[in-house]
Amino acid sequence: MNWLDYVVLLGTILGIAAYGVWRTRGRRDLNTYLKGAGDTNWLVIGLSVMATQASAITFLSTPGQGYESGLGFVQNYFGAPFALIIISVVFLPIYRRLKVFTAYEYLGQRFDTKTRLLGAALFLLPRGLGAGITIYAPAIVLSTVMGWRLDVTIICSGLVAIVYTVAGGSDAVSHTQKYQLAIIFAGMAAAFIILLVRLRADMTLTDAFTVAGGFHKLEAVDFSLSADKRYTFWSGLLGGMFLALSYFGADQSQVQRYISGGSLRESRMGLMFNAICKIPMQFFILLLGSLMFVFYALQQTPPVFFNQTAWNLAVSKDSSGELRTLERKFTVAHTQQRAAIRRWIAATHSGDPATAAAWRAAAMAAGARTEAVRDDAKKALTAAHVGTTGSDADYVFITFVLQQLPHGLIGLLVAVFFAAALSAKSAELNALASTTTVDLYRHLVAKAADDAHYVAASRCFTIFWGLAAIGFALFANLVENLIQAVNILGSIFYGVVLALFLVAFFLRRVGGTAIFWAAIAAQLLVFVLYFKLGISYLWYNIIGCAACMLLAVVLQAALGPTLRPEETA
Amino acid sequence: MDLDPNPLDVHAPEDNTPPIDAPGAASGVMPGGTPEPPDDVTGLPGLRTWASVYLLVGVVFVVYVILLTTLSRVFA
Repeated sequence: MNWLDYVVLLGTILGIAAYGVWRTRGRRDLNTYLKGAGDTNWLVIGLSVMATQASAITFLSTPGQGYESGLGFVQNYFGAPFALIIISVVFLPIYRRLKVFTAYEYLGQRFDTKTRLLGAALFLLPRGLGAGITIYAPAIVLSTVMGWRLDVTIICSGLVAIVYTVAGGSDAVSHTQKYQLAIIFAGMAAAFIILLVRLRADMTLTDAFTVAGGFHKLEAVDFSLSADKRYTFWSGLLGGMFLALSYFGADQSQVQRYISGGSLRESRMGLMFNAICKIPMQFFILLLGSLMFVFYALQQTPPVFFNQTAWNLAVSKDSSGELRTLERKFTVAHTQQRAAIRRWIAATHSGDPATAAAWRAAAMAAGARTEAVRDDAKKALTAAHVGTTGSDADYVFITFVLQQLPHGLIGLLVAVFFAAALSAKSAELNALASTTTVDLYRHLVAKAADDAHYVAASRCFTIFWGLAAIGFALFANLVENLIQAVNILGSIFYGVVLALFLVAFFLRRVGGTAIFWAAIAAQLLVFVLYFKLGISYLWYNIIGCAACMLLAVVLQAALGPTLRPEETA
Repeated sequence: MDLDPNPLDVHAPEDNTPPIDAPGAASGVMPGGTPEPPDDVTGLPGLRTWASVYLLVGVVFVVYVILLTTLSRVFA
């Protein structure tokens, strides 16, 4: 990055944050601070919901997912449209009718205090951890690649989010997310166009798709019934639907974004906007990764390992010369692969299918050798203990950005990563603070204070959770692939959280004691199964939800009919 | 500040908010008496009910799956 990139980066990020503070100056009452001005239109709601979910992990890690594994990850989002419809029909009207600040307030009204506290705790724990990952993930990648200090990167980005979220609450989050998303879309579109231009220097777009398809990078839909495969149509539709139901319907970081609509119609339209746009958005990000695979397959000297900082450090420590040997092997295999791909495309253009098929097979064989060398290189790196897990998927896109984009656009793309991190982080902090204020502090500690007191408390809790997330990020270790880590963490807890709400809505005879103990038992069951079974993590959403609901019914049957509060008077 | 003496008491009703199935809550009239604006109109041209909007979302999903499957098959 040069001075122009830093001007673009800092101007964009700090400018949006400053706008958020200025735009929401003077917010004093609790309702506005936690839920916004109450006049938010559907587009702002829709963009806010989208920005809250799409953190920096989406834009840093997902292209790498496409590079390594192709388009299959898009199936993870197949359940989202149906989940959003269910939320629009069932959850949203109830939240708006009761004018709740948090989703867990509703649990208190339907069941009792301990169930409300359990729901809040099941949100606060994973979301608190998730907030740390949200800030850690882009920081580790950017600091590694740019040479920035990791702790400074984490602290600076965390503090920016804390400042405007504390200042303006929910409104500040929504207003800044609009512009952050605009930056994100502009940056990603620019990167996509540059990639297509670079590819066109070597081949047509159809050729690029042919090569990507030949290397299985375009297999988007897998109708297999195997429970072991991580991403299939069925795990995405069913498991993904339960994950999305819980995330969008019971996670306060999302609930807070759409209950602020000017009317039920505006909130619903915002959700339907996401129902339609989510899948194509994820598709294009994954496609970027798949086409980057083709781009690097035709490069003269692509990196054997995209985390070049870790690679160069390991090479400097490698007295046996093993890594240099692997580099040479990789270059040989890659050269053979590149030559085979060019001949494959030439034969296709000349209308010789038999020759094209033969060169395709040769390219695939060379590709397999290339991947084998990369696997050996990753194992050698892990053994060298240079601070990497051996996966470089999260570094593919940032490497492309730094090496292929012109100055100015580099700054814009780095701004994309920070904008995405800030948009998700600010929404998470806002939600964590709201739940802590409303479900814990106001409910248990200070029951009769005025609005100014609760707004001040909410500001303090925002700072607390922001600092906690920064603290967690400073001590976190990199996991294999960040986007999968976030989804796995969610899947372990979200099933039970969803069950709390489904029982509340549909199983009227189940009371607070039964659902409380059922939830605890089901959550323990999910923990045990996660470490015992090797199934796709998406299934744990269904397992946790079903187990909790079933146990609740059984426990209630054992306890006898529950008495409603008005029946005991 | 008073702490709730029995925060985990199963029979302790929540503060002053009416239960979910109280007549006021079910009828759409807010506890403060302000009626929620009518919401059965979507305001979209050609999609007057929410059922039609949800159906459109379902159809769009099917189109996405068909396009993605076709992409997979064509370039396999």
